[in-house]
Amino acid sequence: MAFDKAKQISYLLSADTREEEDIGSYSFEHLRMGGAYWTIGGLSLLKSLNEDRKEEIVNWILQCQHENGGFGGNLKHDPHITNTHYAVLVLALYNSLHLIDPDRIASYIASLQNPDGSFKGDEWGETDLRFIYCGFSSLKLLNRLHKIDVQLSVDYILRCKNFEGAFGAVPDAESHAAYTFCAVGALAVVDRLDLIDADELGYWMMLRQTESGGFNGRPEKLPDVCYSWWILSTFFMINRQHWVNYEALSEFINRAQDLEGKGGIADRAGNETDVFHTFFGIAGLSLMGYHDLEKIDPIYALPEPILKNILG
Amino acid sequence: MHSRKKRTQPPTPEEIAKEKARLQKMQELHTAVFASMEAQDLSTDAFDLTTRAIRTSSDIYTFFNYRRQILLKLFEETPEDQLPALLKKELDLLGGIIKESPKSYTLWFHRQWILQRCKNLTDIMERELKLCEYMLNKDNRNFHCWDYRTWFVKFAGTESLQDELLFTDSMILRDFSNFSAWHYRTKVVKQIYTGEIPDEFVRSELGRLKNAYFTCPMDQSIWNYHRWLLNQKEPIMITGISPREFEETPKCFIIGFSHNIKGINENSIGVSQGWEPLQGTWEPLYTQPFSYIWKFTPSQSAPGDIEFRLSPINTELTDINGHKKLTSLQYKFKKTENKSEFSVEGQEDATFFESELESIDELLRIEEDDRSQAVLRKAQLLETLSFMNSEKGNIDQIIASYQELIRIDYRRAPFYRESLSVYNAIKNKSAESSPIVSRKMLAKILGFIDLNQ
Repeated sequence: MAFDKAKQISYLLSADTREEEDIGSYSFEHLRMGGAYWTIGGLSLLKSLNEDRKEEIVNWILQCQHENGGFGGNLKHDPHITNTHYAVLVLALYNSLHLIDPDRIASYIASLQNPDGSFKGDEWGETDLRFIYCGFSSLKLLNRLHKIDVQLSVDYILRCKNFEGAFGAVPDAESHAAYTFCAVGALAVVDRLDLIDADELGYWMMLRQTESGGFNGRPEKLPDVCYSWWILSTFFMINRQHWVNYEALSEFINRAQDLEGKGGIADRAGNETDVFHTFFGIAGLSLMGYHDLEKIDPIYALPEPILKNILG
Repeated sequence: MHSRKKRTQPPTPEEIAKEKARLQKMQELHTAVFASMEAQDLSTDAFDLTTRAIRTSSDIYTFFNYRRQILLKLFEETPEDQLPALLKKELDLLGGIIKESPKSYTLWFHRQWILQRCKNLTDIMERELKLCEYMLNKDNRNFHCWDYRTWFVKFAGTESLQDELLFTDSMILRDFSNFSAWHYRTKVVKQIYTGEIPDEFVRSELGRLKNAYFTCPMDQSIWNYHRWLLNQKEPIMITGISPREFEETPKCFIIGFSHNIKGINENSIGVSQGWEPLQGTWEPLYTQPFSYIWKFTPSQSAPGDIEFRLSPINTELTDINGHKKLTSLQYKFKKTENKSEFSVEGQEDATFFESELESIDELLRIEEDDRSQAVLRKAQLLETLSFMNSEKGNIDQIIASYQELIRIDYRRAPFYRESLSVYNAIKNKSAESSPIVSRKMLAKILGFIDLNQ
C-alpha cells in the first residue's frame, strides 16, 4: 500500500476544524497542546506548514502560560511539564522561541526536580521517566540545562533500567518502549549515551518488530504505529538502526492509513485514525528517509533544519 | 485513542443526537468546574462538582488538582478520628472509576496521593492487593496497575516476599505469555536472594520454564525470563584477544569480554609473560566506563615471542547490571612469527546451560513450525557454552542456527546476518568484509579483525 502524502496533508490541515464535527472529539480538549504539536509537527515533516495560522496559534499558546512559567494543555488548564514541553516544541516549529522568557520556563521546570533526581509532572508530584525527558529536552532547547542537577537525574534514569538494557517508567517497572525512548532521549540530550548497553538494548528492540512489520512496545503485545517512532528513533540514537526491517515497518505504517475516508494514520490497520498516530507514523517514515519528507531529529523530534537553527 | 475500531457505518441521526447531548452535558459540567476554580471555591458544593467531573473525565489532571486543593482543606477541618472514613470514601470512589478507566495516569496517581495520607496501612493492605488482582484479571498487562502494586508493596512494607512470589506464580500459570508477571518475578526473586540465586531455585524455575516453552515455543515472554535466569549463572568471561596491537612496543593486548564491564585493574586479572607477572594499566575502548573491549598496556615487556597468560583473580566485577562473578578460567595467548594462538584452560560449571541445550534440542526435534525463538535461544546457549570452554559449545551448530533463523524469521535477518558473520569469522579464522557494528559481537572476533580499519 502506498503512502498518500496529499491525503495526510489535508487530514492534518483540517485537524482542529474537522475535530469539532467529529463525535467524541471534545474528550480531547485537555490534550490540545499535544494535539497542536502532533499536527503542526506532522505538517512540517510533510513540508506543508505555512504561516496562515501562525499568529493565532502562537497567541493561543502564550495564553496557556501560567504565572509560574509553566503551560497548560489548553486555556484554563493547569500547568504541566508535558504541556510546557509541547509548547516549547510548537514555538520552535514556528520559529517563535524568542517570544517567551526562557528563564521563567526554566525556573518552572527546575522547580519540578525531586531530591532523587526524578521529575514531577507538576507540583502535585506524579513522577515517571516521561517528565525527565520533557525537562531535559525543553531546557536544552532554551539553553538552560545548567538550571538543574543533571547528574542526579542521570542516576535516577539508570535506576529505571532493567536487565534487557531497556527502561521502565519508574525503578523496578517493566521495560516499555516508550519509556525507553524517554530514558535514552534524555541521556542523549546530556550526551551520556555511554551509560547504555547499545547491543543489549538493540537486541531487545529488534525483538519488538512483529510478524506484521510493526513494533510492539513490550513482549507479546500488539504492534502499534506509535512505536515506529519510540523504537526507531531510539535505534538511531544508539546507532543500531540497521537491525530494523524498514520495508516491513513502512508497509505496516502505510496499511494503517485511512485512504478512503478522512485520511490520517491509526495505531494499526482497520482502526480509527488520530493526529497522534498520524504524526508518529510520518515521523517513522521520515527517519527511514522515505517519501522526500523533512528529516526529523531522533532525539528532539523536531525537523533537522529547525533544530539546527536553535542548537547551532 | 488506542484500538478504536474504525466505524463501518456512518452514525445514525439518533446516535449523533445522543452523543451531542452527552457532550453538551459534559461541556456544561466542565464550564461549571472552571468557573468554580476561578472563584477559588473550596466548598463542599465545589467538591461534589469535582466528583462528577472526575467520573466523566478521568484523564483531566486539572480537575484532580482542584479536588486535591479542596481535600487538603477538608483534611484540616476534619477531626482526627473521622479522617480514616473520609479517606476510605475517596478510595471507594476511585476504585469505581479505575474499573471504568484502568489506564488513566491521573487516577492511579491520585490513589497514591490518598494512600500517602492514610495512617493505618495494615487495614488497607488487603483491599489494595485485591484491587490490583481484580484489575490484573481484567487486563494482565496493565502496567499502571503493576507499577501501582510494586509501589504499594514497597510503600506499605511487604507482609511477605514469598506471597508476592506466589502471586506471580498464579499469574504466570494462568498465562505464560504475561511478561509483566515474569518481570515482577525477576524483581521479587532479586529481593529474596540478595546474593547469588541458589541452584535449587534455578532448577525449579527451569522446570517451570520447560513446561512453558514446550506449550508455547514462540512466546518471547518465556524466553526473555529464561535469558534473565541463566544470565544469573553466567560469569564474566574472556571472548577474544587481538594480536594486531601486539606489534606495538610494549606489547599491548586488546581483550574482549562476554559482558559490558567496568573497573578492571591489575587486581582483577593478572597478566604474565612466561612465568613473570606483568605490571600495566587497563583501559576501556570505544565506550566508558563500561565496555566489552579493553586494552592492557604493560609498563614493560621482554622482547621475543613468548607465551602470555591472563588469570582472573578477583571473584567479582561490575557489569552494566550490577555485581557479577568473574570466571575462573585461565587464558593463554601465544604469538609466533606467523600465527597467534589463543587457548582456554579449565572449565566453567556449565551444568544448567548444557541441560537446557539438551532440552531445547528435544523441543526442536518435535517442533516443525514454531521454531524461531527456540533456535535463537539455542544459538545463545551455544555461544555461552563456547566461552565456558564446554565441548557442547559447537561453532558449526551456532552457524547452522543463525542460517536457519535467516530463513525462518526473515524479518530479523539483518541482526542474524551480523551474528552469522561473527561465527563465520571464528570458524574461518578470518573476518568477512562486512563491518560489525555491535561491540558485543566485535569482542568475540578480536583475533581476526583489524581494529584500526
